[in-house]
Amino acid sequence: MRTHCLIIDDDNQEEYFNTHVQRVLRAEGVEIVPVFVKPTDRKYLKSDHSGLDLDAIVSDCKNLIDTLDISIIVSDCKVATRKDPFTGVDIILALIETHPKIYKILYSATIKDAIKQILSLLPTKAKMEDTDVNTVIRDLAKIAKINDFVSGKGYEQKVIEYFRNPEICYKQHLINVLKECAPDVIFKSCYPPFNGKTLKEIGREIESDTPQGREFQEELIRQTLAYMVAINHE
Amino acid sequence: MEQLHFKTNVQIKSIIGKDLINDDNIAILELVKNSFDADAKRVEISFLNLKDNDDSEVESYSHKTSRIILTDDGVGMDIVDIREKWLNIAYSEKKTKSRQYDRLMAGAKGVGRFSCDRLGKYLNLYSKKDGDTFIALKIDWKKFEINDKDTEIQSIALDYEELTSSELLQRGILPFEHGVVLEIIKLRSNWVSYDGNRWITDKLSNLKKYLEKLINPNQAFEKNDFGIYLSAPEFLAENAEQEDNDKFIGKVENTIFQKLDFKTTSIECKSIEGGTQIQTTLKDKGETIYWVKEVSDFYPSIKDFKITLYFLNTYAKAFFTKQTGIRSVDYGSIFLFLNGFRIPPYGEFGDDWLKLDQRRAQGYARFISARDVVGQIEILDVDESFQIVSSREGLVKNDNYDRLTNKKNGLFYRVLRRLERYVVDGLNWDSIPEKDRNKISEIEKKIISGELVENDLKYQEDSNTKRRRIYESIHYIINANPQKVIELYINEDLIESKITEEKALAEQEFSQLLSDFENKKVSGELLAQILRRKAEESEELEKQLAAFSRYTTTEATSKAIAEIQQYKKTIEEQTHIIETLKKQLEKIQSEIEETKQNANIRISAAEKKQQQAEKERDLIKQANTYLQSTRTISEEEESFIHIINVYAAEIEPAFEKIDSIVESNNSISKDLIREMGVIRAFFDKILSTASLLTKANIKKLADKEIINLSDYIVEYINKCSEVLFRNIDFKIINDNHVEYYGAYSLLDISVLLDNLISNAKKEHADKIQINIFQEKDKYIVDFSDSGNGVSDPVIGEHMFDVGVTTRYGGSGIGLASVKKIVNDMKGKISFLGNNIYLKGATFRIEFDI
Repeated sequence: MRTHCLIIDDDNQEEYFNTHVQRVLRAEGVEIVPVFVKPTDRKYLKSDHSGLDLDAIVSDCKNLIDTLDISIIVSDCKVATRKDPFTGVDIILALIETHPKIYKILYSATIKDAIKQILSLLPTKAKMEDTDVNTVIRDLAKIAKINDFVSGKGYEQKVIEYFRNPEICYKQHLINVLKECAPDVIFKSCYPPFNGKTLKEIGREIESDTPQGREFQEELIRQTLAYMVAINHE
Repeated sequence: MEQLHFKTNVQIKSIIGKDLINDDNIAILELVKNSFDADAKRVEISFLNLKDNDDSEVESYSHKTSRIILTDDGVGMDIVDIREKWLNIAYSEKKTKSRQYDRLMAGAKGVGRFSCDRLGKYLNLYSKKDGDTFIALKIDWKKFEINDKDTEIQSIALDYEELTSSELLQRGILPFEHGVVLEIIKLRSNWVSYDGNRWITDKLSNLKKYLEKLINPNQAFEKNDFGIYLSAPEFLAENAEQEDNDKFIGKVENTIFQKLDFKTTSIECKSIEGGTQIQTTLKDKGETIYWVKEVSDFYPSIKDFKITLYFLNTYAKAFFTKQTGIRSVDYGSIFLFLNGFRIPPYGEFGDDWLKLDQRRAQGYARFISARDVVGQIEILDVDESFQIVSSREGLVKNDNYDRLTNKKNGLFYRVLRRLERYVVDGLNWDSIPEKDRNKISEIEKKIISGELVENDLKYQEDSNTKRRRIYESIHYIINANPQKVIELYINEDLIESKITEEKALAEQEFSQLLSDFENKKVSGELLAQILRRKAEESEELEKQLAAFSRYTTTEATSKAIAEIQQYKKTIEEQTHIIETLKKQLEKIQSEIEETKQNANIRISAAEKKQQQAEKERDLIKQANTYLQSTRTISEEEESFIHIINVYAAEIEPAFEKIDSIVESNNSISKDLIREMGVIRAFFDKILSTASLLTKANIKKLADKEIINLSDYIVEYINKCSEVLFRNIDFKIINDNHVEYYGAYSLLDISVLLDNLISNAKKEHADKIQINIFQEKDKYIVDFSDSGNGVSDPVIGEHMFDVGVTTRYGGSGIGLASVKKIVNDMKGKISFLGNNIYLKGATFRIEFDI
């Protein structure tokens, strides 16, 4: 299985990730390719040097997610300068808006500050009175989409655990195969609802965990077993 | 041929009496005129039995019946006069002779006697010539009121008798030497009325006012010897209660114009020298402004006249109201008095016989309207040049009338225009300012109530300003043809005061100018301005001199003109001096200009220097933004730093020992050496943190911050190396002020620089030079020292690997740290060689722009 991991951190994480995640998972048959976004990179500097451009950072992250097969996002909380009014929490929440299904881990040496920031989104009595209930629900849903929190830098364990989950592993493997082996082949039979779709599009259905995506996976197992049984008879 | 004759029907009496004389006041006036023509000195008009009478009770009349008794002391009539003249309808002596008893005759129609019919139903006429007996004639006007075509007026018999003094007295009439008494009985009009509370006597008041207006204030020019007296014995109490203006008992007098003389501007124009010349005098509040004697253009059409006009401004109108009790507009405008008596309706309210209002409506605001002027035209007409149409219709519009009233060249307009020029062009300032026009009624009220007297009027200019203006406009106002001017007088006080005032002003201005010039306060522009004004002034004086020289003047006026000439000379002298000053000033100014230009060049150079200095100062100021110059620290913090330094000093030999072990032992694991490098890197950070404790906010040091790398390097070297590296001479060159912004940890850059400096120090460098510049798309920092340099330069990039000794700065762990930091910053570090800038090593750190 081969997949990508998006790491958002202002410090260099290449060596650390290679040592503590990549090598470990490679030994277990999972090839995980890190993609680094460093928010303090000069390209995110605002033209007047007054700070970093959050929109540009988020936009870059979204582009990467859309173009690469990213199955997990890990982000430091402190990713900007002292003067910038945003943290990794803001980036993660922005990514949840467009990619709610991707697994997300937030880590920080000062995780308490991150949690405080997240808790500030929780509905208070005053907030419930002032804010539209739909906004509150959306905020809650967003929080619920941050899958894990890590205190300190040690996010590697959580990443490894995620990929050691067989369900995830199987599903991710299937998606990889569909999206990478013959992405443009058009599916014509066996599962009528997907007739006319490319394998890559079917991969996205599974990735997005749609009902038809789930049904397709069950159908796939049934037909594969039937095929294998038939071969046995031969 | 047979002949026919007019017949005179008895009803002609009513036509003449009641219908032709259609106003009670006119009726009385006609009777008064008759007395005047009879050379009466005094006419008494008494109203009797108005309050309590038997008018409605008796068929005829008794002693209690209402009556008017008009008594005069004229020459009187004998029975022949009564028969031939008084009873002779339409006979008027004026038609045969205009002058009688040294008076111009007033009655003209021969119908005045029928006024008695208009006034009462019965008439008893008592007359006596000096030395004769009293004649009494009784007329019952009812006898004439027969509607019969055949009854002629002369067929009605009238009773008369001769009376003695005692018989006259018995009839209630005091005997007299000569004259006429008209006893008009059973009055046709109600002269008074009773409203249940009091007696209304307005009609009597009106009669007196009417007669006042009809009487020439100058009493027919010649002799002040004719008086009219009204009496109403029953109404003494009522009369006493009336306002002065409404009192009806007493002498009928017209004093309005004498009073106005002191409140207004007036012009008087009269004929002199038998009418061949005219003299015009213009007065302002009683003071003569000018008079001029000219050849008359109106002789012989209008030989004997006097025109007096009074201009009424808002204030004068209010004073008019106060004195007369009526508004000037209700009083009337310009009255015509012919031979001493007024010619109605000329001048009455609403009558525009001189077409003043028409002219104003057609013309400009510069024209005076009928409501702004009161006055009179008095004409003594011996030659019967003017004829009266009727008692209410004024004069016949003949050529003489036209010479008097023609708008273009008539006598009246000649006089009016001179007044207009004076008040409109000369005295306009007397009027109320536009913005205060709404206050007029308020001001009027105050004047009438007496709250405001003449001296309080704030809108009037002070007398000096006023005089000046009068002077300026006087020539224009006179507007006379010099050929026709016989003599001219102009108020010399005005001219002299004008000259004195102008002189004082000019002297003051001149001495101020000289003093300002001394003090260099005068500009060329100002001098040019003054010169221009002087020239205008001189020109104006010249014009005035020329204008006055055309007239024959009085001695006083000539003296004043000489003053003007003298003054003009002074002005010319001053002008000359000012011109000299102007030249001097221009010379000085050109010198100043030159000096100024030189100064400007120097100022500009100084400004450039200052700008440069400011730029440098700003750079320093900006550099100070990353690290505070000195931070106050507590004793505890100071001890803490001390302890760190002590422990660091203890660890330092251990690192040296490790270095030498690494150097001598090739079998040591690379991993171990790498971990040692990590330890060394963080040890350096701890040391840097301690050293920066006094310079920066510690929290700030660890965090990333957007900085200009060039500035931070300068600042760090300047502020921090003074403690750590005192014996090294630093030089930073950034000639092009190259900037490079990024988000970096100040601590990382500090460690980077510390390591480089520390290595140089170990190689015994005493000078470090940092060159910052931009090359293509790279930001470059070259770091060079004057130490021993890298002993084995061929090792190249490997010198930054952990554990590779370069014989530069010790074990190489430091350089590995440097490389890690630079790489984290997405930069690149390389060794350029020895002896490039300085004799020692030069390292290049570069970043993509």
